[in-house]
Amino acid sequence: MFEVYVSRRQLVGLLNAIIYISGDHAYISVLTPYTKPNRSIFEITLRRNNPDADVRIASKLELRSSLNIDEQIMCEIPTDEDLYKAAIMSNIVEINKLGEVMEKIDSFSKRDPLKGSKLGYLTFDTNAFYLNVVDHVIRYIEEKNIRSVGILLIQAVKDEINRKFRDRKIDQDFIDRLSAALKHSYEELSHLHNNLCREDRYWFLALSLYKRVKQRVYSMEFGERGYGDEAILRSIVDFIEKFGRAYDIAVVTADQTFAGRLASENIETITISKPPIGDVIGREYKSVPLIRVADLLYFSAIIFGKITLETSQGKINIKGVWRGKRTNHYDNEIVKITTRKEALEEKLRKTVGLLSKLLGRS
Amino acid sequence: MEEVIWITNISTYKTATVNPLWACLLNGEHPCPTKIYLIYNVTVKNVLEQASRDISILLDVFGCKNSKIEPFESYDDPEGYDHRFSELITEIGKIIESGKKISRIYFDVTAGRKFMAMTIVAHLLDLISGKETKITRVLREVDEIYLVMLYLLDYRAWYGRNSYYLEIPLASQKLKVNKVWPRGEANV
Repeated sequence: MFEVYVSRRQLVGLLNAIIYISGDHAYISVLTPYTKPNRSIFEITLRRNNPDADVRIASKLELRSSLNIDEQIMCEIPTDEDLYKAAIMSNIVEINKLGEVMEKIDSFSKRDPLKGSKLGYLTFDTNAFYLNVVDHVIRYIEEKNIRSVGILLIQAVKDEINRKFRDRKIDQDFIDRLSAALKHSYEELSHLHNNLCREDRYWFLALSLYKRVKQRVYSMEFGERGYGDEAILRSIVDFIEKFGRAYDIAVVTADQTFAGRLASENIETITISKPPIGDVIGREYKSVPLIRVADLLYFSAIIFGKITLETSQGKINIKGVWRGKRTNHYDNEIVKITTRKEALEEKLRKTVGLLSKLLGRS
Repeated sequence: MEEVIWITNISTYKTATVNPLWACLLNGEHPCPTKIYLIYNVTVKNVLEQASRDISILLDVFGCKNSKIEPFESYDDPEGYDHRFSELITEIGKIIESGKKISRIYFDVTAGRKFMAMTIVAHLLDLISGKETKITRVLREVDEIYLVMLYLLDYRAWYGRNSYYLEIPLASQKLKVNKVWPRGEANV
């Protein structure tokens, strides 16, 4: 069996490998262990001469079995909402007002502190981490090599993420119940063993994102410990009182009520919102950059625990969780690629396997 | 055993040296090189070490068991580079004199400064046009000579990122491998 660990970014290498293996174009059906066999959650079309792909999102997530699902395992059972979140987190579907956030960055970046202008700081509410919006922002800043914009991390946001994270672990009994409910063999679900439940995986992703942003030289952490809107608002107000002469702040939030409270304090706010689920699922997205398709695979692998890419040449698994997955795998955004198809092994070894070796992952 | 020689430059980005070889080997139409000359100068000596390590990994994965990496010191100026290039070809001439057959030489001009690519191309033009020089006398003894370049179609998005071949969408890059010798088969 071929297996290799790769980072989110290197999943572009896997997509390239699939194009190379398949010829002029490749058609990928993305399956999960929870959904009916041959009912893909996403369909991806790649072309040799086009750096973009087409992605179709299923209109409904059809579970293998919807009977006998007890409360104890519900935290792992996916719904249509998870398809939707994967599309949003990977930015295949843009969150409303994300463009306004980028415009704010552009406007901050034009300021020159040597000429007396205040530096601009963006700060984010808990949901902006949960929905991966902050990741799109740091990618934008780094791809455009913007140097004069900072990100203010509020400690109370980190505490809020930690509070929502309930650390529910999947044990053998859990997998037995899941396997009975889904009429699946234990082996098909064994990758979940000792891993976090799906709902907690979202919050762990948010926490990893927070840590990644904190490592950036242009970020700064501020505020007292605590959680809830009150603590976050207090930290922002404190920051403005202490440093408002040198810095301007714009807060990005997905919470209308919180936005209202910020407005009452005369704090500049950009209120992002998710597009309606009905506008997202069941649609085909044309000309999606490969990097976003790679992100879709990454987030889907984490959300669904494991996804299977069915190609004309055989099946490739991407495991978002596996026995022995550790916190540093989350922090470094690592997933595991496996295949049992012999014909694919050699080709994957010379492509994505080699990429992983060159980058020191295996 | 026949020799297949790959000649390339070391520049500030190791991937510019590694990626064309990866692309050629993956393409399946090009054999494993038996000798890989990495032309470097003191300013990029640290990159030489990284590129050598990467090329060793690459050769191992592709099962190129008889490949040898040969660092070849040169200069960061056109005259010095041309002088050392001539000495490199003389070294290759000695391989031929020892009775070994060289079936192919690949000149990869992807990495390095423009004058480095210009130097190589100028000598290959001498060869194609039938000009008699110390260098063309050696190159004429080689069965086939190729000029290689892997270039970015989406230059603005990818240049300077030091990304490996498979990290960049395949449709955003193009591999050109032109046969320049023998003259009758040249496709430049």
